[in-house]
Amino acid sequence: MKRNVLIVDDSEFTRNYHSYILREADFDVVTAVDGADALEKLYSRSFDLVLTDINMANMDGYEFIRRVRSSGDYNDLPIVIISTESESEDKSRGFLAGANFYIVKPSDPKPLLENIFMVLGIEAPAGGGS
Amino acid sequence: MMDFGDLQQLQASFRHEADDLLTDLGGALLLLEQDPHNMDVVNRVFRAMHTLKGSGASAGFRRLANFVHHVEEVFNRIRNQQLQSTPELIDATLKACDCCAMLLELGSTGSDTPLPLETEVLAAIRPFLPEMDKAAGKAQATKTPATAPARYKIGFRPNREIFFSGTDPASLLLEIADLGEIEIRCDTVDLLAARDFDPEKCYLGWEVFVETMQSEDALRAVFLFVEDDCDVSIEKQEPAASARSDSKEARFRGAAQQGFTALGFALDQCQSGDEKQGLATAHRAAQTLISAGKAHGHARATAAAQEVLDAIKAVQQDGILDGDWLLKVKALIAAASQAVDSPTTEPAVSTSQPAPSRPAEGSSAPEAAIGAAAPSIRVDAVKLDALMRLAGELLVARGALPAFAERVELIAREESPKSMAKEMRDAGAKVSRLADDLQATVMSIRMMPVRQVFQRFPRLVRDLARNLDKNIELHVNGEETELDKTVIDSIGDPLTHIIRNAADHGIESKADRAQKGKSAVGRIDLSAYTRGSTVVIEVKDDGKGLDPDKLKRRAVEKGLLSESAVGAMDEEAAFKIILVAGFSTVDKVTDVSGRGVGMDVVRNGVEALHGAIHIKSEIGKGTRFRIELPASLLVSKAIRVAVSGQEVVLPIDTIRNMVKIPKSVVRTVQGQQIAPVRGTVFPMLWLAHALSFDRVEERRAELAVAIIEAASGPYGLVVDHFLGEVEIVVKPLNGVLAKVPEYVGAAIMGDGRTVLVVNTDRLFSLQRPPAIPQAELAPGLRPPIPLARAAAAGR
Amino acid sequence: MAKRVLAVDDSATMRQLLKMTLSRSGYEVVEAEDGAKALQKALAEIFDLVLSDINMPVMTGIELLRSLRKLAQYKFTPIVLVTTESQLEKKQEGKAAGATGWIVKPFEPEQLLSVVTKVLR
Repeated sequence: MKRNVLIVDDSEFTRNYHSYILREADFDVVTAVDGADALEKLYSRSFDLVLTDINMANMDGYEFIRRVRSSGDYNDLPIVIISTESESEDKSRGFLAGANFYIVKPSDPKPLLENIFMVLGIEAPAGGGS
Repeated sequence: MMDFGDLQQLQASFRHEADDLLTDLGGALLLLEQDPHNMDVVNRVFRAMHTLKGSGASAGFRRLANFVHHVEEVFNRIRNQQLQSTPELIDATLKACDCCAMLLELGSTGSDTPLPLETEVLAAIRPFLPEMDKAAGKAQATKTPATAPARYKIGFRPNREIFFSGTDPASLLLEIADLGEIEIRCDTVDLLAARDFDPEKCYLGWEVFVETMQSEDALRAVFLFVEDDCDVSIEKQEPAASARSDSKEARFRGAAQQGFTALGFALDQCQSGDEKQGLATAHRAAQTLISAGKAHGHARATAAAQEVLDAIKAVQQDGILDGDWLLKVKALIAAASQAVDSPTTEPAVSTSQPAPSRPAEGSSAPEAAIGAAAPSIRVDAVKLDALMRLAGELLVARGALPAFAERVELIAREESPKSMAKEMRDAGAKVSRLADDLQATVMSIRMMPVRQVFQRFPRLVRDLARNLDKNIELHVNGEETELDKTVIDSIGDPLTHIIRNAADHGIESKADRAQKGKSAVGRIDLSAYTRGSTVVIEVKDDGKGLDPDKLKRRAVEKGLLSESAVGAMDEEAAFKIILVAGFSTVDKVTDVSGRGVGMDVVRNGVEALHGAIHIKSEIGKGTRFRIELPASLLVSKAIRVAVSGQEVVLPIDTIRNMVKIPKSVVRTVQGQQIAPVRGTVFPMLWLAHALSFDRVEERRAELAVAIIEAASGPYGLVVDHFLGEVEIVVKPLNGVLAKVPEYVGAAIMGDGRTVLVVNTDRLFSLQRPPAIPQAELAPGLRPPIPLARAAAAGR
Repeated sequence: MAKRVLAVDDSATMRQLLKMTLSRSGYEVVEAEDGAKALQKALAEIFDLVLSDINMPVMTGIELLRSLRKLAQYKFTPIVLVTTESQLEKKQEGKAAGATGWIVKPFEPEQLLSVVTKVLR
């Protein structure tokens, strides 16, 4: 069965780029343009992973993650932040908000996928990716 | 250890020495121009600069020292024959001397903006310093330089007593940083687990990854004087490791590292009191470690991470998070870290000891290294407080003298006691003068410019503007306005919230401003000025302004206020809704101002300082917050009043005026007594009732009423008599009385009696919320609903 | 009896700072403005501790250190270098010449005192 991933980013380019990489690796991708949009879409089906940006106009990534976690139903949903911010403080905020993992943008397809598989706890398919 | 007098003496001495050095330097430079190869002269120049730098920094002339440092580097290169002296260089260095003289004049004061000359000199010598920005290759001349940078892993666990050896671990880390690119990981687990934390001890350990051209010996030399009693390990990392940094192995390590980092944050959070969140974060971090282990097929790491997770789960269920648990988890984490490292490289250097005996840091070592010389006077707060108390009590004591004199006069009307009474009066007047002087002196020490608080805001606004993608300019005015230290210390948070709010909700987005034809750059004005004994701080923005109707609507929607309550509100009362806890005017939640928590901090903070807030706003034009604060908090004036045969005092700063009104004008509207005073209708409160005194004087035809300006709105406080004005020193109440919200403290009177000070600001709102809808009261009334709610909610 | 400290620095400011800090804590401080003068004083009287700058005219701190270590009465005396240099070679040179420790300028008076207390313990 295909794994479902929700990609949250306010940049259309980034959404497309990440969608492409993950679709190539056999994920089913749903995208959202900001935290608020993502919250709605999150309830629409079940996801195996959320990949979210931090700096977004409407509801930012931290708040989005906090809300997801506060509902209590999504404690085990892996949430990965992918952000251009690389300061330890940003990571700290991310982890404390409830993220599982932090990837610094931009990330090449291969490391991105490897990291995602790492979070999912499954071995990356050999030669997987682009 | 070193007091202000010492520092002044030291600075005077340095100024003197520096004058001599600069004169000598000028002479030497001219000599060098004639004879560029004379090494004695080069050394003389170098030494003069070296002394200027070292002694300057020690005497608090850090800016001078920093400046000289660059020039000194140039001469160091000449000394090492890496560089030739040229006329241009001499020229620049002579200018540098002029610049030093100017910096010497400036001393430790002045802004940080470089002097034009400073910039000019630094630009002129830059060509002589190929690596001015990067200190990477300091010792390149003597060391055999490696062709490619090598990566080292340095484990450094100082002896706990390291501070006693005068070594600052941070300075050693900084030294490593000078050698190349570094990455530092700090092990705080011992600090977290410490049961009897001793701030003089060092509980931290560090792992430093450094990529450097320097040899391993050079790294080892950093620890030369500490290696005997600290754990220092230096390992060259496989050259392959960095080359392979893109490998899957590296990715696993990176992922695991994130798990450890997150665990660190999580334990910090547990320690800071938020156990539930902290444990949830730790739980996730451990899961990440397990997932990474699984994904990488690393059974040992997976198992070790599982143990960490189990320990976290155990405490999540049973909920006892103590030092023992932290120690245990720390050991498990260390084991996991070792497991992660296990297959390809040697076991982890340092994290393996459970180690009560070992490591780590203490106080704020990393920052301690170079504290900037503060331009202000440091006064021991304890001494200051003692001095203040003395001054206050002296002031009170003098109040007893005239009373005493009066009594002497009354008792005996003969000539001699009369003259004695006069003498006593004179003595009293003298004490009085002394007390005033003493108080003024002490107050002046306590007074500090608001600059101390204001200086953080330009940065705040800059960052906010960047995060919010807005153009915002902050204009600061009146930074020199002085406020009491206590006020200075506490006003930062409220101001931060107001400014954040202005930037976030006040100033419109770029697009909105363009559309409204406003200037592209939003403006926030922060200003302070003194008005009598009050200091006013204003935060004004030219943003979209507050919409009173919208605020009222929201307040009703959120269930914070009733329909009828908001109906009676005037505009300012409506603006103040945003200061109510739990209120937020925005539909969306932004990261900047959070979720409506925050603005109530403003009200609470200002109230605690006995201050007042006023808000003015015009839709489309902007909003102005005005905070009025008492400039000082020491001795305050108060009104003595009699009530039910008792004496209490009312703080004068909340009293708008004192009037007598005929009892007949008081009417009762649905349980609330109201009365018109000078054309405005106020709700009335009988002090005797409010303080639960039994005996209430009902027969009087005329009522003595103090109109109180409370934060929740004005009201009339009915007392039996006004007894006069006094100066009091308010002391907080202890024990059981501390919990009685009707009083703010006790005042010591001139005759030594202690009298309670009524909390007039909250007295009204402490009563049950009036049963009547506010709308039935006369216009102009500001209903105390929000505060009454808060009080009812159990403050 | 008060411990006696020889403070060697060519900068009057530094000497004053050393003296101010140490004498307040009960040490007796004697100043010398270069290595040669320090050596003279060290020969004439006995000190419990020598604090010395490195970069000085006439005789450097390192030279002073070497000379002192050759003297029987200064073989075990703590000698601490007080200097702005944090260069490795200088440090190694200092340690090799027999320095007990190292304080980098500028320092806090507390830092100086804790070093002094430690080496005199």
